[in-house]
Amino acid sequence: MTDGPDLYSLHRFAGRPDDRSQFAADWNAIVTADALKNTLLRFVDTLHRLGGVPPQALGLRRAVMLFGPPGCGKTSLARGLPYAWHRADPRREAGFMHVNTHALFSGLRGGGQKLTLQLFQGIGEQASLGIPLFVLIDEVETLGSNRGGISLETNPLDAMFQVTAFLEALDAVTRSNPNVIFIFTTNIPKAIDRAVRERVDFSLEVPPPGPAEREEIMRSALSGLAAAYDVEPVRVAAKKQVREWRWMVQSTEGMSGRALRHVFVLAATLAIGSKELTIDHVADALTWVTATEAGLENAGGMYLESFQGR
Amino acid sequence: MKAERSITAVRHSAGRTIDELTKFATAVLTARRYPHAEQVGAQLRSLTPLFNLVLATRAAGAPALLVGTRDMQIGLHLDYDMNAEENLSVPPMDLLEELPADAQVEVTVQVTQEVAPALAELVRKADGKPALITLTVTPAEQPEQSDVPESDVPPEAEPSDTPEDRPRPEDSIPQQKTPDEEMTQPLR
Repeated sequence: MTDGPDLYSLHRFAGRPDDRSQFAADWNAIVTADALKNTLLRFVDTLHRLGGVPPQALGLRRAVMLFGPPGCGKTSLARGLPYAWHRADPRREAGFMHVNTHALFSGLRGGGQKLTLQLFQGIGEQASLGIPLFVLIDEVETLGSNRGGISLETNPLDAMFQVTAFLEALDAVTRSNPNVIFIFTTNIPKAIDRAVRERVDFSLEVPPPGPAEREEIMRSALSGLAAAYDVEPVRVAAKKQVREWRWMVQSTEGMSGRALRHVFVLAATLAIGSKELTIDHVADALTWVTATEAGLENAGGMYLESFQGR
Repeated sequence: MKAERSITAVRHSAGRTIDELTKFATAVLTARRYPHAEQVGAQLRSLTPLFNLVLATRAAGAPALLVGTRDMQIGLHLDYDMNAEENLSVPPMDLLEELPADAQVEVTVQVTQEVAPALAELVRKADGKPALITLTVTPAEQPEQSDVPESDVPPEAEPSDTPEDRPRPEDSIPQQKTPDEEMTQPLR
């Protein structure tokens, strides 16, 4: 086997759901329209119910793809999905395998293919337990890259063969393990090989949060800061729906949840000399973020650059 | 969970191979947090003469070692192909529950031909504690048997049984304590 990093990590969901686990936190932290989470759970229920259907009959690969801009919660939703599915009916058990996609690459000739096959051997072994097994392959475009876009001058055959190994192993596992449900996530659907895209049964976009979700995220971030600052002034401003608060909710359209939370990190930086965090701190932070040259598109992380500029 | 692993016997000395077999079984049970994992390892080590014979006569079953519980079957194959790839990794066990001290655990040594009663006696005595190892004789027509070269075991160490005396597969865990059958019984 490989001496490198583990190819995957495992978790079992059984018995009483642990609402304080990291998986519960992942699921609950993602503020999104309820319909999206319900749709995702419905996809899983459908695939679970179709477990006895021969894959050839419906062309099933038992794969769900989550796509959308970065920072909107695809990975967190995928990590929390087995928890939420188990929580909906604690009598059922589930396993969760989080594939370490970065561990599947090798500088050795044929190394990537070998690691891919080892991964799927591991999936088959864990699936042999018979309980529903959720397999998360994050950033699936790195494993199922569009072969048409692979440069023939930079290690071409290995890259192509790894995609081929991925496809063949995926098919083999699907055929022999109807209890496996794959969850793929990607920021760049176009970078995924068409053969991989066609093996997905359900695709679901995880969009940036809407106004109501953004406000909830802002309140959530504020609660987080309460451990280090007196945030009451901002809470009161939010409750009273003061002009600055409403402006912040409106002007963050298109911003991801992660970027929105980062605004509060910058606000905390601005208020470092103070015991309390005020609405002005948050508003200034947001102004600086949105005033960067890159604008909202690159908001997540750009605030540091804009902060330095001041 | 079902999993298969392999070790290439021709790449190692017999002692090293036996050591790896033992370590593998112990590691699998340790990964399940089985309290008697080390005891099983010690009992397997006490079977070194048996393993030596099995290795020399290429009489390993397929798999040669089977670690089994109600929810797990992990087999370790002895491979005689120099180019075969070894894999002695213990599968992650996080989806399985811990094995309590009173769990039914069976570590089976599978051989394709009868071994001398004296060696079977080793299995029975092990280290004096309740043994957890089963010795099973499987049919001789295993793939490994097809290209078995000349044995380098001295004639006096060869099993005395003729092929006609070998038990049929379904008789491999006999109920009566005839000398031939006794060696295939779980140790108590």
